[in-house]
Amino acid sequence: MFEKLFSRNKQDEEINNAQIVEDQKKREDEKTDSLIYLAESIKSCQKELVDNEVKSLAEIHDMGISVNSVIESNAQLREQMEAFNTKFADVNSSASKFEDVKQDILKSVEGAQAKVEVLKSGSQGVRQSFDEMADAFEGFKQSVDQISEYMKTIISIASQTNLLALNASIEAARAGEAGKGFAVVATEVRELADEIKNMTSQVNESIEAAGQMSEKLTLSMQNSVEAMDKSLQEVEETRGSFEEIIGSANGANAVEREIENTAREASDELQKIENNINDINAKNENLVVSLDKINALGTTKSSTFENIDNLVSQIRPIVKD
Amino acid sequence: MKVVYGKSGTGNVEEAVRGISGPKLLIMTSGGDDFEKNVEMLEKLFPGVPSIGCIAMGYDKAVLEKGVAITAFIDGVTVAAGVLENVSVSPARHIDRLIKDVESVHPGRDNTAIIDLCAGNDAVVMSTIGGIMKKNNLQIMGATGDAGKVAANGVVYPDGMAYAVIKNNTGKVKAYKENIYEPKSDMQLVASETDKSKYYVGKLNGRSAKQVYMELTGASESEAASQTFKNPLGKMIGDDVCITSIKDISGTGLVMYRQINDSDILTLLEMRDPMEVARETVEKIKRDFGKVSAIFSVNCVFRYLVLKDRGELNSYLGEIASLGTSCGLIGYGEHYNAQFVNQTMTCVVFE
Repeated sequence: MFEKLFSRNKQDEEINNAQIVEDQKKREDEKTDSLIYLAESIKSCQKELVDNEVKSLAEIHDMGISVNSVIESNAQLREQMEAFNTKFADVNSSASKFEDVKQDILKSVEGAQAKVEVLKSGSQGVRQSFDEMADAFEGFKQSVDQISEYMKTIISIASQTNLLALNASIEAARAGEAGKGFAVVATEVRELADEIKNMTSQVNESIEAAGQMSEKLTLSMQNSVEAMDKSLQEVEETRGSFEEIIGSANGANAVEREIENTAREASDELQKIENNINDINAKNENLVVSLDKINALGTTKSSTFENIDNLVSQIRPIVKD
Repeated sequence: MKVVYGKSGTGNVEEAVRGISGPKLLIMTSGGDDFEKNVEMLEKLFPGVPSIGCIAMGYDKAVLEKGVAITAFIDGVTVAAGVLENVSVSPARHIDRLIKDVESVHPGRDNTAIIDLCAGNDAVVMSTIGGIMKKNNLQIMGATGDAGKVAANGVVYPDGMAYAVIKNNTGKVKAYKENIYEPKSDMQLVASETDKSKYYVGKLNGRSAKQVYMELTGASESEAASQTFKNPLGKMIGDDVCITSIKDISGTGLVMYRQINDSDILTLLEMRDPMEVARETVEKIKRDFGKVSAIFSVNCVFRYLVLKDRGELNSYLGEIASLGTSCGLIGYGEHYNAQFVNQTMTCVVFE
C-alpha cells in the first residue's frame, strides 16, 4: 500500500517537475517572443524614422537649392544694380562734360566778343573819321561859298571895269584922234574885263560843280554814317546775343547739377536697395549655415540609424540561438 | 615600446619571425593557400602569445605581394587578443569576450587601441563595438581580410572578427584616417531605396543612382565601376567624409563595397595628389606626437592599385615610414574608430 502510495507520489512529483519545466520553457519562450517582438517593433519604428528622415532630407535639400538659387538671383540683381550705378557714374561723367562744353563756348564767345569790341572800336574810329571828314567838307563848302562870294565881287569889279572901260571908250571917241590910243586901251580893258567875267563864270561853274559834288559826298557820308551807326547798333545787338549765349551756357550748369543730383539720388536709392539685398543675402547665408548644420546633423543621424539597425537586427538571431 | 616587422617571400613563417623574440603580440598577413598552415606554425613557434591574422599582403616600406609578413609588438604593451564569431549574423553574440579583454588591459586615457581583422559585415561589426570604444575611450583601426576568414590565437575562424586590444604602457595611441579623395563640390546626394544586405543604392536625390553617378562623372555604364578609382562616393557623417567605393552597376542602381542606408547623405569625390596628402598626414602626426615608436596601418587595395599605377607606391610608404617603424597590410575595407570605410588609409600611431 505504502509502495503504491510512494509510487503515486513519485509519479505526481515527476508530473509536477515536467509541468514546472514546461511552464519554465513556456515562460522563456514567451520572454523570447516578447524580446523578438520588441526588436521587430524597434526596427519598424526605426524604419519609419528613416523614411521620414529621407523625406526631411529631401525637403532640406530642396530648400538648400532654393536658398542658393535666391542667393544666386540676388547676386545677379546686385550685379545689375552695380551696372546701374556704373551707368549713373557715366551720366555724372557725361554731365560734367557740360562744363567743358560751356567753357569752350565761353572761350569762343569771349574771343568773338573781343573781336566785336575791336570791330566796334574800329567802326567808331571810322565814324569819327567820317565826322571829321564831314567837318572838313563843311569847311570846304564854306571855303567854296567864300570863293563864290569873292568871285561875285570879282565879277562885280569886272562889270564895273567893263563899264568904266565903256565910259572910257565913249570919252575916247569924244576926244577924237587924241583919244584913239586911249580908246584902244579901253577896249582892251573891256575885253580883259569880259574875259575875267567869262573866266569867273567858268570858275563859278566849277565851284557850282564842286558844290554839287560836295553835296553828293556829304550825302554819301551821311549814308555811310547811318550805315556805320546801324552796324554799331548791330554790334551792340551781337554783344547782347553773346551775353545771352553766356547766360544760356551758364544755365547748362543748372541742368548739369540737376542731372547730377538726380543721378546721385537714384544711386542713393540703388544703394539702399543693394543694402537691403545684402541684408537679405546675409540672412539667407545664415539660413544656409543653419541648413548645413541641419544637414550635418542629418548625416550624423543617418549614421546613428545605421548603428540602431545594425544592433537591433542582431537581437533576433541571438535570441533564437 | 618596440615593433619589429619580419617577412618571407616564400611564405616561410620561421624565416619571417627570425629576430623576433619575446613578443607580446603577433599580427600575421599571409597568402590564402597557406593561411591555415601558417597560423598553426606561428602558434607553434610562439605558443600562448596573443596573435591575430588574416589573408592579405603585408608591407613596411614595400609591399610583400606573396608570402607571409609578421608584425611583432615586443615590449611596452599590454595585450589581449580574441575573436567575435558568426559576425555576418550577430557579432554581438560573443561581445562579452571583447568587453572582458578590454577590461583586462585596464585601458587608460588615450593609450589603448583595438586592431581588428574582419572577415566581413564590417559595418555591423563596427556598430557593435562602437559602444565599447566610446565607453572605454579606445581607438580602433582595422581591416577586412580576404576569403572570409581570420585567425586569432592560433585558430582560424570563418566569419569572424579577430581583435587585439593593445595598451601602450609608454605613451599615448591615436588612430588616423587619410583620404586621397575630397568632395568635388558641395552637392549632397540623399540615398534611398537601399538594400543593406546587397550594399545596393537604388536612388540618389530621388533619381536613378546609376544615372546620377554617370551624369556627375561623365562615365558610360561600362566605365562606371572603374570610375570609382577617380570618383568614389563619400558618405557624409557630420564634418567627416567616409569613402565608399562602387563595386558594380545593378539595374538602375549602384552596388557598393559598403553598406548604404536610406537617408545616408553621399557626395561625389575626386582624387588629390596622394604624395601631397601623405605629407600632410605626416605633418599632422608630427604635430600630435613628440616621438613616434611605431605606426601600424591599413591601405585599401584600391589605393594600392592607384599608387602602383602612378608609380608612387614605394614613395608613399617611404613617406609614412619617415615617422618611424611603419608596417601594415593591404585591406579590402578599412576601419577607423567604429567607421567602416573604403579606399582609405587608416593607421594607429604609438608614442
